[in-house]
Amino acid sequence: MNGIKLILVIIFHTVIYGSQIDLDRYYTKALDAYKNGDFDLSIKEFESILLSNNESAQLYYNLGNSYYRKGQIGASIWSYENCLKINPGHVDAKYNLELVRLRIKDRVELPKAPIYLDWYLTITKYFITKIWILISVIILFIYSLFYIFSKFKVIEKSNNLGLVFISLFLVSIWFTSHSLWFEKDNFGIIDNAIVHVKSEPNKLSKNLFKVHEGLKVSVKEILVDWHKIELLDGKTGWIEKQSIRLID
Amino acid sequence: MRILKIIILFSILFPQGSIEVSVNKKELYKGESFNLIIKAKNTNEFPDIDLPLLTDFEVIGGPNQSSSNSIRIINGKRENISSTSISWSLLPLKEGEIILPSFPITLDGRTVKSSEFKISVINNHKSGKHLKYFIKSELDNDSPFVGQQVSITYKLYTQIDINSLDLEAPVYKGFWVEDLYEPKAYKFNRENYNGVLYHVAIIKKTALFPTQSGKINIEPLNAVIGIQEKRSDWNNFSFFGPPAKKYNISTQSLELDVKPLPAFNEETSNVVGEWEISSSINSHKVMQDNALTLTLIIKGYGNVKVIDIPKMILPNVIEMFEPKIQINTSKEKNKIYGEKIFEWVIIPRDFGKIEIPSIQFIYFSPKNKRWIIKSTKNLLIDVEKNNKAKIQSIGLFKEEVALVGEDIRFLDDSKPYWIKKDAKIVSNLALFFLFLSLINFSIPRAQHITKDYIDKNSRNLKAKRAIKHALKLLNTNEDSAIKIYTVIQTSIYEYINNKMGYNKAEYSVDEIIVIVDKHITEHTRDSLRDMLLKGESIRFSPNSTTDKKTDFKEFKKLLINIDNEWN
Repeated sequence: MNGIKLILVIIFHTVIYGSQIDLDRYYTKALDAYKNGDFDLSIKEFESILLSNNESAQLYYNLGNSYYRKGQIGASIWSYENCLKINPGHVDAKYNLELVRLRIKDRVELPKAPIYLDWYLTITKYFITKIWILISVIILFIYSLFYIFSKFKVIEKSNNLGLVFISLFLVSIWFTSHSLWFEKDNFGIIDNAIVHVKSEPNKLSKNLFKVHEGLKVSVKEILVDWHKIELLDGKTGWIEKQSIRLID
Repeated sequence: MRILKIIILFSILFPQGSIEVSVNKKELYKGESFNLIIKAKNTNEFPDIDLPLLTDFEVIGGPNQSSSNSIRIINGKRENISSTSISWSLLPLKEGEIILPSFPITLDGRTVKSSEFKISVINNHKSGKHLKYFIKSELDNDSPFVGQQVSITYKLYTQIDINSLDLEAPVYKGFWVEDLYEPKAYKFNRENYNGVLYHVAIIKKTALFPTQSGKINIEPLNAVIGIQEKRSDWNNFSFFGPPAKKYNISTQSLELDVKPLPAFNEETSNVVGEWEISSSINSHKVMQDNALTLTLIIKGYGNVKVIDIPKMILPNVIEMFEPKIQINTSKEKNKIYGEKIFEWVIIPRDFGKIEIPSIQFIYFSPKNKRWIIKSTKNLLIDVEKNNKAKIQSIGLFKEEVALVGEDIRFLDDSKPYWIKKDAKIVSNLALFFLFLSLINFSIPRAQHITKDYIDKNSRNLKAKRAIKHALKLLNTNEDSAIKIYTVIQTSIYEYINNKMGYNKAEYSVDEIIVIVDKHITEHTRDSLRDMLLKGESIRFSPNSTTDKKTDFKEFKKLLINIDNEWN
C-alpha cells in the first residue's frame, strides 16, 4: 500500500515539478562551471536553458558575466539588456552593462534630457509592462473592495477616496500604455567585431558605414537573412542577420 | 546727323494718328544689334503689334513701351502733341543680307501691314572695315582632353570712351566652370589688331573643365555697352549733359574638340592635371588604443573637386574612422591650383611595429599625354603595449571614467524565477484580480436585481390571490346594512392593496375609481362606482330601504367580474 502511495507521489511530483527540477539542475551546473572558471561550459548550459523556452533575469545576468569573461562584448551586452528587460531594477546588471559599454567603439553622446522627462522615463521603465498591468489591476481590485464595502455600509462612503482610487488607476493605465509603446520597438546588439552596413539587403550593395560589436541598434525591418537597422543618430542600412542578436 | 541715321521704312496715316516704323541701323557688323522702333503719333494709344517668328534674328531686348506728351505754342496757338512708341532690340544671327519680314500693326481698330526690309550684316574680319568697339573671346587650347583645364579670355577692344559694360555670361554646357578673373575696373593696354590701334582690356577670364568628349560649343557672351554720345550729336536740353546710349554686342561662338582620355588597364580615374602626393603621420610612437592622425595631401593643377578618397588597405590591427576632407583652391597663372587634404583618425589595436602601406594616386597628365601613378612612402609606427588595452580611454563620459579599471560584479546566486519566453503579457495573477474586481463591482447590482425580482414575484402572487382574499372577507353572515357595506368596502380595499402591492387602510371612492380605471371596462367601473357610492350613503343614513342582501350578491359578482377583466 505504502509502495503504491510512493509511486503516485513520484509520478505527481514528476509531472508537476519535473521540468522545474531539470532547469534548476542545468542552472546549478552552469553556475558551478562559472565558479570553476569554465566559462565555455557555463555559456553552453545557460544557452541550453534559453533554448528550452525558459528565461529568468538571473540567468541573463549570469550569462552576461560569462560572455564578458570570454571577451564577447556584444553577447554580454545582449544578456544584460535582456536581464534588465525582465527586471529593470537589477542593480548589478545595470552596473555591469555600464562597465561593458566602455568597450564599445561606436560612442554616441546624446543631449541630456530635461529633468522632468528623465523622472518620467525612470518611472515608466521602473517596471516592465507585465508588472504595470498587474499594478493597474490590483488598484482596480482595491477600489472594487472599497466600493463593495461602502455599498454594504461596512465602511463609510467617501467620494474623495473613490476619486483617489480612480486617479491612481488612470495613472497606472497611462504608464502601462506608455510602457507598451516602448516595447513595440525591436532592438538588437551588434555581435561581430566590425559590421559593414549596406544600402540594400544584398552583399553586392554599397557599404554605407560600419558599426562595431556591442552597439545597440533599433531594428526596423526583418527580411529572411537581412535586418534593417537604425542608429541613434538616424542613420539606417541593412546588415546580415548573423551580425546582430535581437533582444527578446 | 542723328535723324539721318533713322531710316524710315514705313509710314501710314491713321484717322487719329500716324504710324512710323524705323530701325536705327541698316548696316551692321556681326555681333552688333539694332533697334526696331514703332512710333504712333497724335495718339495716346499703343499700337498692337504681332511680331512674326524671327528665325534670322534673336530678340535680345523689348518690347519697351514709352509715351510722351508735349504742348507747342505757335503764334499764341496752343497745341497738344502726344505720341507712343514700342521698340525691340534684335541681334542678327547670320551674315549677309537678311530680311525682316512684314508684320501687322493695329491702331484704333484698324490693321495695316508693314513692308519687308533688308538688314545687311558684315563680318568685320573679312570686310577689312574696322569697328570702333567690339568684344572678342580667346581660348588657350581648343582641343583639350576630358577634364583638362582650358581658359577662355574675353577682351574688350575700343577706340572710344566706354561708359558702362554689363556682361551676361553664357551657360557653359558640358563644362565644370571656375571663374579665374573678373575685374571691377578694367585695365586698358594699347594693342594693334588687324593694323588698327585699340585700347584693349580683359573683361573676364574663366577656367573650363570639359566633362565629355567630342565637339562642344561655347555660346557667345552677350554684353550691353554704354557709350557717351558726342555733345555735337546731342540736340536736347539736359542739365546733366548728353545721356549714354546702350548697344548690345556679343562675341562669336567657339567650338572645342575635346579628346577622350586614353584607356587605362588597372584602375579607373577621372582626375586630369599635374599632381603631387604626400602622406604623413602626427607621431611615429604611440600607446596601443590611442589615436593618431594620418594625413594625405594631393596638390597640383586641375579640378581638385573630382578627386575621390584614395583606396587604402590597412592592416587589420588598425582601426580607421571616416576622414575629414579639406579643399583649398587658388588661381595661379591662369590655372586653377588645388589642394585636397584627407585626415583620418586611426587607432592601433595591437602593439609592436605596424606599417602603414603606401597610398596610390592615379591621374592623367595632359602634358605627358599618359596616365601617371604616384605613391606615398610607407609609414612605420611603433605601438607601445597598453595594459588597459581592452578598455579604450578616449571619448569616455565623465561618469564612465570612474569605471575604468573596475571589474564586473559577481554572479547572482539567488534562486531564479523561471518564466516562459512566450508568456502572455497579462499574467494569470492579473487576470485573477481583474475577475475578482469585476465580481466585486457586480455584487451590489446583482443584489439589487435579485431583490427587485423577489419583490415582483411576491407582488404577483399577492395579486393573483387578491380575489381569493377579498371573497373570503365577503363570506360573512352579517345582517346589519352598515356592517355589510363596511365589509364590501374592506374587501375592495383588500383587493386593491393586493392587486397593486399597496398597503393603505382606506381609499376614497374617487381614488378607487382612478386606480381601477386603467384595468377594467367603463361599464364595470361605473357599476363599481355606483355600488361604492351606495355603500357610502347607507353608512351615513342606515335607515335606507335598500335591499342589502341583493347588493351583497351583486358586489360579489362585480368583484369576480373586475378580477376577470383586470389586465
